[in-house]
Amino acid sequence: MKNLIFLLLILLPLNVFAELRIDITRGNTEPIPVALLKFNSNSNEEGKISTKINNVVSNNLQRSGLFKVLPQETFLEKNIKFSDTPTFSNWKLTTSQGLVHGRLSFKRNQSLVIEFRLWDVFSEKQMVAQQLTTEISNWRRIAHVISDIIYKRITGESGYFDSRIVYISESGPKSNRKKRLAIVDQDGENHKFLTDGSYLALTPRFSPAAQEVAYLSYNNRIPRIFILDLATGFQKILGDFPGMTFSPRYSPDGKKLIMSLARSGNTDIYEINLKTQKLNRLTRYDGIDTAPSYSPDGNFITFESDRSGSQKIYVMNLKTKKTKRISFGSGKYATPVWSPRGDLIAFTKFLNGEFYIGVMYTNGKGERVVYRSYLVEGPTWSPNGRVLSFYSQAKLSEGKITAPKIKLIDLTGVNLRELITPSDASDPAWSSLLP
Amino acid sequence: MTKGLFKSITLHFGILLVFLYGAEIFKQNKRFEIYEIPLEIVDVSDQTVNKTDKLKKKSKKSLSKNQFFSPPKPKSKPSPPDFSLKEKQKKEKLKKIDETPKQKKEKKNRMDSILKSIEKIKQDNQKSLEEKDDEKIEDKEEIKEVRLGEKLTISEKDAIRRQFYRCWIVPAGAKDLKNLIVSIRIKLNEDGEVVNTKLLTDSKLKNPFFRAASESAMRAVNHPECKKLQVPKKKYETWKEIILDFDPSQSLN
Repeated sequence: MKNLIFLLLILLPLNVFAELRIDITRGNTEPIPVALLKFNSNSNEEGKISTKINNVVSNNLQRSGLFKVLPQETFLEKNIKFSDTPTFSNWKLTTSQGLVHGRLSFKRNQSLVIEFRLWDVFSEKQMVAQQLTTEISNWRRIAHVISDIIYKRITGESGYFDSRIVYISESGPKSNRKKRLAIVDQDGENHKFLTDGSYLALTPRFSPAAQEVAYLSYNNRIPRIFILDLATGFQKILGDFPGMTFSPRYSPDGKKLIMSLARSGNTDIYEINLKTQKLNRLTRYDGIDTAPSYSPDGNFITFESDRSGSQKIYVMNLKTKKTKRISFGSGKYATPVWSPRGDLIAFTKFLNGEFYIGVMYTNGKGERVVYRSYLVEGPTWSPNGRVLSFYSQAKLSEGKITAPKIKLIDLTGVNLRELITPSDASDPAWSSLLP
Repeated sequence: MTKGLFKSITLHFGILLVFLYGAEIFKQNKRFEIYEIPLEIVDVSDQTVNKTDKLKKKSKKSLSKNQFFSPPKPKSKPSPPDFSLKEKQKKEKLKKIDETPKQKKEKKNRMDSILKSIEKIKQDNQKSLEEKDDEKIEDKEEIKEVRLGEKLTISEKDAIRRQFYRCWIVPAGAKDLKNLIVSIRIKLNEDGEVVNTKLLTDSKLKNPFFRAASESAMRAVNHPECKKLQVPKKKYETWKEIILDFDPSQSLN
């Protein structure tokens, strides 16, 4: 009897494991087809705003590379009441996997009220139902917010559409190149110049709340870090130290700023408390330590150094001050930037006459190239750590070099876009999601 | 001198033997490796059916040559008496129940009938010897099919995978891809159509990345192009329930 029970115990699990199991390790990386119905409205004015919002949302999702917005002509239903459930069989025929519809109305000719739903067509389930209210003039931002909600619900990751990019706008001949600070929405709209071009501006960086920009200026011929308040336009010089300060970057809590300070031929990394202006020296090395960037938890920094004989990337634990080299590939590594998601470090690499933008895990493993060109430099992360922006110049077949332009690329390295700017552009810095 | 020659010949012969023996083992290993690869690609069940067909033909040829057996008869002929026999037996059984008190009187008659039936069986055996041989082969064929039907071949599994490759949009750029493996149990009807789906890894749905990954896998399972799977009908018992593990971690390689 005992033996029988023992046998049964042995055989039972075998029966369980006999179930057919198939692993699907590959799929396609094509964009997810989505259908965006224009929000229903009651007046002409409302209809115009509805069309504009539809265009902005559509453009955002399409540019992300993760979505394919289907043309309205393919829709079998042109209008769905906000309170109705769509006829899913009609939408399945369009191959769309997500469906957005809603209604828009003005309240007392001042505020804009939008209610919308997102449906999973294949699973026939509602994913989102939300109401948003804002001023009518703020329609563009509400369109970005709607895009972020759709993006987040489908990918699981917070969006990046309601954000801005600050960059250096370049114009004029090489001998007298004007470099101005400029700001633009991530989709290339709402362009504004922040400085007049009377002095050189370089390497701008956003504060975590996206209210301030720290940048390097050659005002009075001495390179200094300036801090510009975006709301008031007021700016101030950061500290007054002997020597040259450059490559600034804010700490995640916005209370400190990390930068390089060059004194008598030696460049080291310093942290400055923005309230007390107290300096804290982080590296002590005879060569060049520069381009520091904080980890999102503020416990580590990554920076480039030539202490091993050539430019490589290092990570320092700020509590223990222990420093570890993480890049071991051939070539020169520079401008490391910690992803806001915390999992990756983006960098610029120079190897065999070509520049690369790449990413690696924070321990240096899994190095992967996402873009390469004649000159590419200065990667900056989108607020969700999913897209990289940088500037690049290509070499044409006749030997000519193209003007610098800002590019955006998805982390997979597949979806490359250009940020349309009125003139040449370099040194982009991406803000966090706007408050 | 002759002793030396003898020694050298035996030594050389020995070395040759060792070499041949060693080479044989080496060859066997190679054969084993080569043997495994076609198993992965060839649809084994189809092949085995063909093999049995060949066997059947061969055996029929040999039977016709053999003079001990009379020429084969069609299967349908012997079956009607069988049915009638069965019916008779059934009737007899019913009678047995009804006529229990008369059993003693009819004992002799029953013995006679048993003897008669034995004779009949002997005759039938002689007549249907060839048919039995054929049936044996058919039985073997059935057994083989059932055995192979227990598992899907690798190529059959690959066909299912390929179908899902088209339907599944991988959450490629998401964080911690290794932890985003989604398991879904699907139930299929005999036509291979997905009739029921259940998410097995539903405990992690609070994580927005995992929820998005689960939904992307669910969309693949509900995709019109994957609503009907390309599965071998004969093996329905094997694939009527499948657990699909959607693993996006290798998608960036």
